[in-house]
Amino acid sequence: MIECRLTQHPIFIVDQGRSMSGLSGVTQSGPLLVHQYYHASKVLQQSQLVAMEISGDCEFLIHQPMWITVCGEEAQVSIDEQYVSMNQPLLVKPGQPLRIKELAPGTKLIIGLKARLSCMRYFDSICGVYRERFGGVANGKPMITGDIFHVDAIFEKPHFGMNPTNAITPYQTARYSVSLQSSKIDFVPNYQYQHFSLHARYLLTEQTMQVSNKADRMGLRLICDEPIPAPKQTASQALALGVIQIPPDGQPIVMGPDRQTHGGYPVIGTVPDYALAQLAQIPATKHFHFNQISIEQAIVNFTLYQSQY
Amino acid sequence: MTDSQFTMVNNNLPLEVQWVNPTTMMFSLNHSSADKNKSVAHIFCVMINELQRVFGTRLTNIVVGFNETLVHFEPNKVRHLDDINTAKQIINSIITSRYSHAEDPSLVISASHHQIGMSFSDEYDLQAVADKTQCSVKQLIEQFCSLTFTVILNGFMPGFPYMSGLPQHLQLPRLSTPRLKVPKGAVAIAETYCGIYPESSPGGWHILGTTEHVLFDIRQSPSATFQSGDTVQFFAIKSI
Repeated sequence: MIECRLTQHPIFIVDQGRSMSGLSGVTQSGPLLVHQYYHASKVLQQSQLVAMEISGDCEFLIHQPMWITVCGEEAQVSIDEQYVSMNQPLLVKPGQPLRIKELAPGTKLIIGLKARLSCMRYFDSICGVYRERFGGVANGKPMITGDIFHVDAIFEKPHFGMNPTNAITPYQTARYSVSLQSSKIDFVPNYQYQHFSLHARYLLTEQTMQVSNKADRMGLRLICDEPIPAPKQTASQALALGVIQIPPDGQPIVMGPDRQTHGGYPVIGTVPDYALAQLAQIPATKHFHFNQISIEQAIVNFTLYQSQY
Repeated sequence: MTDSQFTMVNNNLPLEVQWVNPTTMMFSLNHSSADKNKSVAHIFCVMINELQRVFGTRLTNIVVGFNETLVHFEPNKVRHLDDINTAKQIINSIITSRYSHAEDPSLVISASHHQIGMSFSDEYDLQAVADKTQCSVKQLIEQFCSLTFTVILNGFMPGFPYMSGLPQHLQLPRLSTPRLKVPKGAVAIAETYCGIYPESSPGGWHILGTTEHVLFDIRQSPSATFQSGDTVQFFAIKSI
């Protein structure tokens, strides 16, 4: 049993996402922090990993011995009042509290669990989307203070060889920490890009952007000083993960894993999966630029990231 | 759009395929509005069947749009060059068959026909639609029930079917002010489509009546009652 004793923000239970849900008009969902999720999978040597996506201080009580890992931006992680390292496999013993503190505002973490939770699976996934009223804790709801998850199965200790730290390399922990890098977020021009004016395309890449406080797993709403003029779009279209929609107010929205299957705003391009995970970790106070790349370059970058897992 | 190793544009056939992000392939169909009917649904249905057959479990999702189909691959199993080349072969064979061998048995899809009982009600837009289309309510109901709709896709919300087959004289723009609450089961029309609201929701379509038919049940597989390519005909179980 996993008990959420305290959380500042809702906690989303995620796995790899729903399978073949789009034909029913159902959101695919899945992790927003793709890299951290796959990193956690590698650390725990667990495919189809169940994880919790958190965005603030929280505390859990785990009632069964369980291997976990905490992946993402820097934070204070303690088990039974002892500080522990992130991005490593950790054994939590029954009754030991797991606490996460001092996570930078606007950033998120993944807690990977080497266990199977006792909750309903829809489209082969436990992801929940509140708008759709199914999955997650129940009826699509995220986890809040007081919620309890029962555990069906505990998986065995990951095999580390002689040294547990061999499971990962330091390179991986630094690589997805966007706050340590120049804040440029890659995007690939596609969808209605050709229908946007030269001025609109210029505004997308040449002015700074900020992630608004309204950003969530459905869409990362951005703020820019000069609104981006959008062409008229009448028909709804199928939305890929990471598409950049330009609504009438000219403030871009980058669509996340909990987006609806279709949307009617014109799309100027797509943020590749790896860059979406970086964008999701940019605090609201920090500025960034969009960096236009070709799909070929995006595939090369993606392949480099994937090679780590 | 540039033609590259990762993009295909066939000038003779109105279909192209490209990667839009490193795990998602998009098939786009450029067709005139006159074609936006059963044939589009048919092409996409055949394509979906073929994609599932060829790519199998490496696919994690397929989303059908009005002019495009998105195909999501499992990140660890995507093979960009091989997969785009395979996709090109698939669309070439489908489109070639579609345009040169319309009766090709390989293009027959397993679609279902649904007869849906519907209560017509003047509580919403029935009279207004009759007025705008210059017919009586009785004539409108008779016309509507004589139509056979084709499901293009499920979208907007789980199980909401966008259905083509609305004749031009019944095609109306959306309401200028959307309703804050459309009842569950509302059968409505807007522009070239007919749709049914599986759940209560805001909406801007013209409501002709309601049905008690279940459109989405998460406990069932498939969860959506209608699939792309299915046909639907309404019959009146209660008329005003």
